[in-house]
Amino acid sequence: MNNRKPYLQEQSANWWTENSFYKRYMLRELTSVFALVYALILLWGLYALSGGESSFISWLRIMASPGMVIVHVIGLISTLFHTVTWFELTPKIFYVYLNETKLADSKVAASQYGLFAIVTLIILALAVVWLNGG
Amino acid sequence: MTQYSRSHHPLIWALFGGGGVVLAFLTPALIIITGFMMPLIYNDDPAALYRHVLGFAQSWTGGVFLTAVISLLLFHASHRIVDTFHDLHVSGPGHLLPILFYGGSAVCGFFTIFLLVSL
Amino acid sequence: MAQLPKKLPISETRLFGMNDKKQEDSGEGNVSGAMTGKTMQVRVKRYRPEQDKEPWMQDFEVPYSADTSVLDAVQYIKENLDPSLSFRWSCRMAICGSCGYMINGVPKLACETFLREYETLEIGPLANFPIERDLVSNISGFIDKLETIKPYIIREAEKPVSEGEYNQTPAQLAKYRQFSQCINCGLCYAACPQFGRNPEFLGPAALALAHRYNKDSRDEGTSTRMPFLNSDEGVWSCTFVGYCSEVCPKHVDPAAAINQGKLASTIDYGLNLVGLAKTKSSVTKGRESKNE
Repeated sequence: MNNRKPYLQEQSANWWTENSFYKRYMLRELTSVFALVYALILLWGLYALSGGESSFISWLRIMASPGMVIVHVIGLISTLFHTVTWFELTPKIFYVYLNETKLADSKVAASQYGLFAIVTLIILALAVVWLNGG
Repeated sequence: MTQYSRSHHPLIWALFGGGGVVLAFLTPALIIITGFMMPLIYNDDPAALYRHVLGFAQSWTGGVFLTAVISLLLFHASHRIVDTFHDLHVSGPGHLLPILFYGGSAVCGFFTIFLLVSL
Repeated sequence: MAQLPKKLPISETRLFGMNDKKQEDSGEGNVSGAMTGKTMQVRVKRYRPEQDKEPWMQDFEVPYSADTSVLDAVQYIKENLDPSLSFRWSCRMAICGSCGYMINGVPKLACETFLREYETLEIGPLANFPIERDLVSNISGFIDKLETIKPYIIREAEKPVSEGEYNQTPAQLAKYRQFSQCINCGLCYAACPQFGRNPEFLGPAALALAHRYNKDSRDEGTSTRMPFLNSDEGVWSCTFVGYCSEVCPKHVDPAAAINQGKLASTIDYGLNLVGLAKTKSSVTKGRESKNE
C-alpha cells in the first residue's frame, strides 16, 4: 500500500512581500514603469516638435507644470535606482579577467560608476553649451 | 518527459539589455535636460529653444540618438512589465500582454522614425 | 528575514564548546541547555500524509546554549519530545546538503544555523518543493533536472588511458571552479520565485552545473547542453531575482551562472540565425528517455 501523498506548496500572488530581498527586486522591476513614461514623454515632445513652434512651446509649458516636474523628479530617482541595480547585475554577467584572475565585482561596479559620472558630465556640459546657443 | 524547444527570448533580451544600458548611463542626464533645464531654466526664449531642438532632431546623429533612446527604453520597460505581470500571477487573455507591450513598443519605434523623417 | 548573528567572542565560544564536550560524555546529547537553563520556543511545521490534509504548526520548548544548532534542536525534539518528527540530515558539517529547511522563512542549512541568532524560531520544509512529510521535501524533480543537463565531461572522442590525463592550468580551473562547489542542497530552488511559479524551470543549481561543464576546458559537450539552456524552461525562465545566490551556502552564485548562460544562449541564437552554428532547436528529456 502506498501512503505517499506529497503536499504541493502553491506560490501565492503576493510572494514578493515575504522578504526585503523580494521587495527590492519588485522595486527594481517597477523602475521600468518610469522608463516607459519617460520614453512616451520624449515621443510626445517629438510629436509636438513636428507640429511646429507653437505646439512645441505648449509642450514645454506642460513640462513646466508642477505635476510634470513631480513626474520628472520621481522618474529621476527611479532611474538612479535602476542605475544602482544595473551596476550590481552586469559584473555577474561579464566576468572581467586581469592577468588570469577574476576582477572583483566591486571593482567592475566602481569602474561603471566612474564611466557613468564621465558620461553624465559630458552630456550635461554639451547641453549647457548647446542651450546657450553654442 | 519534457520537451525543450528553442525560445525566442534572446531577441527581446538583447533589446532589453540595450535599453537597460541606455536607462542606466544616459537617462538620468536626459531627464535633467528635458525635464528640468529645457522647461524650467532655459525657457526665457522658447522660439530659440524650438530652433535648437529642431536642429538637433533634424541632424543624423540627433535622429539616430532619439530613435535608439526612445525605442530601446520602450523595449526595456515592456520586457520588465510583461515579466512583472507574470510574477504577480496576472495573465491577460492569450498573449494579449506581450502583444500589447512588445507590439506597442515596435509601433512607437516606427512612429519615432516617421516623425523624425517628416521633420 | 535574515538576522545578523550575535557573534560571541571566540574565547567564550570555545568555553561553551569545551563544557559541551563534558555534557556529551555524561550522556546529555549535544544540547547543553540544562547547563545554561535557557530555552526557546520552536515552532515546527508538521505534515503527516496519512492523517493530515494540510501542514500545521506544532510548538516545542527546546533548551539551548551558544553552540546549539537548529539541527541539534530538531534532533532534541525527536529524541525527547515527539519521536514522530521526520527530517533529513547527515553530515552535521554543511557539506552533505541534506538538512536544508526554511528557518524563519529563509532557506538555510540547519547544521550551520544557530539558535543564539534568534529570539524565536519557526522551522518548515524547503519552499516550492512538494512536502513528503514534516520537514522532508520531495526533491526528485530537482534530481531529474540535474541529470537532464548532462553533468559530466563530454568528449567528441575519448583518448585512451595510456595517453594520460587531461591537463588543466590553474587559470582554466578558475573559469569554472566556483560553479563546481554545489552540494545539491536545494536552498536555491526554495529561494527562487520563478521555480515556485513554474516547476518545469530547470532552476538555479542545474543551470549552474550546466554552466560549470560548459566552462570546463576539458569538456566538448556545450552543443549538446545548449538546447536545454536555450528553452523557456532553461535560462529564459530566470528574471535575475538573485536570491538563489544570496542563500547559497557554498557561494556558487547560480544567478551569475544562469545570466552568463543567457548571454551564451543569445550568441547561440544569433549564430544559428545566420547559419554559423547548428544547435538542435528541440530535445526531449525525462525519466522514460533516460537511456536515449
